[in-house]
Amino acid sequence: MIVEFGHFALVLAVVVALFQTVVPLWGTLSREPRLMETARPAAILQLVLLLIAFLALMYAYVVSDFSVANVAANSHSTKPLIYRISGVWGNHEGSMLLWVLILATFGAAVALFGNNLPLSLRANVLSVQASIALAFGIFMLATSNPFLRLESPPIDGRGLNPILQDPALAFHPPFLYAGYVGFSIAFSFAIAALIDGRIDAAWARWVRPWTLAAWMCLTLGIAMGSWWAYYELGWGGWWFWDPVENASFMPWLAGTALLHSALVMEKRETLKVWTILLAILTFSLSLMGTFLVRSGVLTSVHAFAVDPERGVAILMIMTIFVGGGLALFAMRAGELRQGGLFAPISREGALVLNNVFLTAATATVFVGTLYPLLLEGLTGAKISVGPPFFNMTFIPLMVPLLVALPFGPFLPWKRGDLVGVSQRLIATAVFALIVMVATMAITERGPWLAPIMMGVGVYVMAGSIQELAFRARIGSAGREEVLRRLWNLPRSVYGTVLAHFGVGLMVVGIVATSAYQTEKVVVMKPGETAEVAGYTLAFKGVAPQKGPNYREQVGTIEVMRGDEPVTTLHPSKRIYDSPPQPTSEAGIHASWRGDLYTVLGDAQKEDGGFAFRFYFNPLVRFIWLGALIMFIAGGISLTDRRLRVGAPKRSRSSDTPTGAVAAE
Amino acid sequence: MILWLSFAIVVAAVIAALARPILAQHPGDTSSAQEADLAVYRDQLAEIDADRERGLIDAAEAESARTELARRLLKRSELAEERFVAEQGAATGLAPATIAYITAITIPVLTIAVYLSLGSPSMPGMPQSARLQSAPAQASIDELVAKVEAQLRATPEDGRGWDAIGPVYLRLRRFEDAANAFSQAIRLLGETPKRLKGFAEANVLANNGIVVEPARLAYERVLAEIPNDHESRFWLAMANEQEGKLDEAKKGYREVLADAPEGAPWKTVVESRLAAIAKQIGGSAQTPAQDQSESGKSPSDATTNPKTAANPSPAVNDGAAKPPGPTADDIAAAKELSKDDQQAFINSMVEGLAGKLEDNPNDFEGWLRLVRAYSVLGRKDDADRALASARKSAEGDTPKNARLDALASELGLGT
Amino acid sequence: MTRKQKRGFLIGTAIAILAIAVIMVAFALRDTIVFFQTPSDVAEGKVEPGERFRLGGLVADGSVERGQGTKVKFSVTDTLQTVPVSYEGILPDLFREGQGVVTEGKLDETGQFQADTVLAKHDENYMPPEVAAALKEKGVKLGEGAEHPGGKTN
Repeated sequence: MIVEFGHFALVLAVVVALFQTVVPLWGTLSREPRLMETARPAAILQLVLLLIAFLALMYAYVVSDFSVANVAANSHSTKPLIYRISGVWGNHEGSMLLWVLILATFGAAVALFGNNLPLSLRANVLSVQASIALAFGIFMLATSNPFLRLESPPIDGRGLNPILQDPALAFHPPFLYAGYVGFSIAFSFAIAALIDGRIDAAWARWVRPWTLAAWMCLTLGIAMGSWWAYYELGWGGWWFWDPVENASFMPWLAGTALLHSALVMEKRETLKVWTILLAILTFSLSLMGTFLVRSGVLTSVHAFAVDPERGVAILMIMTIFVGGGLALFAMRAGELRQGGLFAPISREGALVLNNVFLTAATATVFVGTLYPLLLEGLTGAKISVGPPFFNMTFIPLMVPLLVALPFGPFLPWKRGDLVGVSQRLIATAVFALIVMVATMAITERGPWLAPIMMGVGVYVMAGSIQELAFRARIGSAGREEVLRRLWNLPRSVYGTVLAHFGVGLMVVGIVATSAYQTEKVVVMKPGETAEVAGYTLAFKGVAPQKGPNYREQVGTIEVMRGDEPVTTLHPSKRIYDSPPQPTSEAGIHASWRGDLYTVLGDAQKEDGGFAFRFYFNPLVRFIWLGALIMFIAGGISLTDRRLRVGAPKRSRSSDTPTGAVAAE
Repeated sequence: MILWLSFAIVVAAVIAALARPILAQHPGDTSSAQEADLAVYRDQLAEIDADRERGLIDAAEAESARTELARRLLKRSELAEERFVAEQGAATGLAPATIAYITAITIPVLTIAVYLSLGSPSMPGMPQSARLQSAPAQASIDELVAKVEAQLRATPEDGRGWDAIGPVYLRLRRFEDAANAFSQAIRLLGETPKRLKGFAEANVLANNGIVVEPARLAYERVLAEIPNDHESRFWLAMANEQEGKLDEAKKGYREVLADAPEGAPWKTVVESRLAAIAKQIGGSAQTPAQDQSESGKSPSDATTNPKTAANPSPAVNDGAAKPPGPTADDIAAAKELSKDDQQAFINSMVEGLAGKLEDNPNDFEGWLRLVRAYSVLGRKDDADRALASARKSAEGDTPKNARLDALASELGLGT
Repeated sequence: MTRKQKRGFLIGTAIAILAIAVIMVAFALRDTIVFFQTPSDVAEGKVEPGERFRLGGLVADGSVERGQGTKVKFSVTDTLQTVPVSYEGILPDLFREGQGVVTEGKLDETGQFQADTVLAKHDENYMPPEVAAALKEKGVKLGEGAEHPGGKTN
């Protein structure tokens, strides 16, 4: 009964989305405020109904109701509870329901917190938002309904792919989707502005926090996915430039650009046309990401639940929204008024540079990801574009961006003094040079570019710290003055500083791991030892063990450093019961120096030896730590009063700004 | 009924929530575009002052930003007037009330139409726990199996459960599960010829008719109890044949035939095996090695089709219906495959070993084997106990203790 | 600078950066892409020894041979032609006889494919699209039987 109620709620939610698409928009076109007002209850109802549907499906998973086809196909009664819950979105149908639910959540948030938005803008935004929900709702009901029932239910389900049974991966899709879907708000605002033919002053103020929230989720989602791939796949790698990875990376790059250009738009009312375009493109790339992952048109090691026919349906939805959005943009962009002036050397100029590089980088990833598809369509030749392509194109675009990055926050709006800023950054640059030379001295191998890139990473980190020092006048003011200033700095400044620091940290981690990784494949018999990156690994033996829903062969490796025992690692090979599928579990020893990563391979036939793969990944944790810092930085920025959604109270007697600060 | 009632309530609530703003006498608290814009500009002006206060921007920068904003504010307030007038003069097409009625009709009709075409309102929810409690008379065999399985998951030490489900698994052709069930029953309830034969048969069938090592051992133990058991003798002969020991196989088959009861249906099968062996021996001029390589070239008939499943007891009959032409590769593969099954079989052996060691605690190698065996079976407490006993027996013997330490660390046992 | 000049400078910079990106992409596409071939393509002599490409198909039944250490030999087949492959390293978890596989490397003079990468899939029901398409082209029916072509002989 609960399942059927969920099904009914889903259908009703789609019908409400239809209402929400048509009526509020009609209201703005006919200037009838009463119709515009309906957007708000409709958006909230949509969220409530989809939440009911989602919880009903989750209930079916938790109690293992195999009369639901989706549950029977993707769950198993012996699965631990957490994976029965995450199994809800571990498959195509359920993940689409989650997608729509998150979409509705963002829409409802606009409805709930958008009190001070102009009525027509709110109606238009929610109307566009509902049209996306409507398209995906129809798609779901027609091709991927999670609530379809089975006449004769099986006694047990088919189970979830075992490598998806992992805590990091259980929460990776929700964050990724929250990121993808969060950009729909920026898209809806852009389309609403184009429908209206003008951009309200509140536009950028509204778009920025939503974009920031989406960007945060996407950052964390991608990082979780990469972290999972790192420890679960047993390849010792963390990023493979795989199409599915690229599909999530492109919206991230475009979203990062959007965050920065929306800043210019809010402060200076300029770059309007570009920001609107970027908002459309970012969400288009999110839709494309959904399409690429779901359709399986590209070869990917991460492809799950692939179904080409559904892919075509998503492609159609994508064409409608991207094509419609761009067409509307082409028609209306000319009507948008241009804003304030600025010199090339200025904060605006720096942000434009950021946008140009990020957009160009997005474009290279786009080409590298889709070129195989294009070539196959044109000539029938099947090719693969791998990491070498991205190393040759993406990295050269990132280097100048990183070099320019610390300059941005130092430059004032409108016009700036490049020489002055350079002088301020001298200390940072010198420090980075020292690191560069030190890296060169310490490492004996690795590409010549690596020490330079290490220096660049450190330079970005130091630059962000120096920005903080500069803002607080550290060095030029007294201790009390510095503390007062540090206390009074807006949180968005801390957000910027931290986020840029995270970028630098990530660069250091990426460069160190990529350039100085040690890999060793050896065959060892119990009692033998191997040397990897200063560690001595003693292989003790392999013993079979049984887990809740798998059997495994667990190797025991004692790790010594000199004469000091460090740890004991247990890499294993598992075979799951349902579905019967082998997986490798890496044994990882994490430290600040880097990760010692061990993988158990096959047994040798003759002599009782086992193949092993060992990696030492220096500073690899910095990559995810950097992403985590970026996520936290976004959160700090979001709490800034100035970014807090909604503008200004109505009352004219606004409290004095200083009073507001003191109250915080 | 309750379901439809709840549908009605939800739909009514949705319609009420959507129609309320449409039918409202006074459109709610609307902030018009120009008001909102002006509010934003005023707020931005306040921000500039705040930033100035905090020292984020210098005086000149603040001044120019303030001028710019002031200009925008002025411009917007002029624009706003025109717009406001236009908004007042706008005309609606349909009366709001009409729209509310259309909504109130369309939403339920559309929803129910779509739902009826997709949903199954008459189908009750079927949580697994509820299904497993349903009356056994109505339950299918699958459901009964699932029920026993659920019980065994809860109480894995219930030997009778394993004993009951083993033959059922065999009938359902779930040979690996059957082998496991029999081995658990043997471990918990002890060996009987019936369980041993079930275990052996499950293993043979799980390996496409190859008599793997654990199966062979099991049949040998059956013979120890019942020396003239035909089934066991047949399969041991088959094992010999598969290993290429054709002479021994021939001898085994002959013995089975010799005291076969009159009119036994499987007699013809044994005879056909004998004929096949005779042909092999004759054709290859008594060089078994060559013989193996020859049959290795035709892997298509290398393995039996285990049709036996539906009818487990006269396995002899079916097992021989498709002659197992063994190849060296197959045997090697079978030995590889059977590792897990061997572990299961160890279960029963381990008890014997433990008993022996109790009588003769000085058998150090025996202790090592026992510790390892317990650990392999996941019986960590027993392994720890055996390890302690082993240490006692090896007291004062340094090399022996060193070996125990090594074993303990390899198996991750407490020292 | 006038308004026009400022704008021109910005647009000029943006175009210059984009142009550099386009040139890099063009060069990278020429140098770094790898073609995907089936065993039939190899048999037709479409690839020269030493040329880097991806070889995809099914792992031929009974062809996996583990040598000393981590050396492995197996054959990749599209059921019409078969190419012997040698690889040194640890095979992915889902590498199995009769399953789809994609390997990357070069042909040596003797016609053996020296793979340095063997691609794994996370999902055992997943067939790389190129493999699926290539097999379909060659008239191999996909489904239960095709996943384990050897299964029919049992």
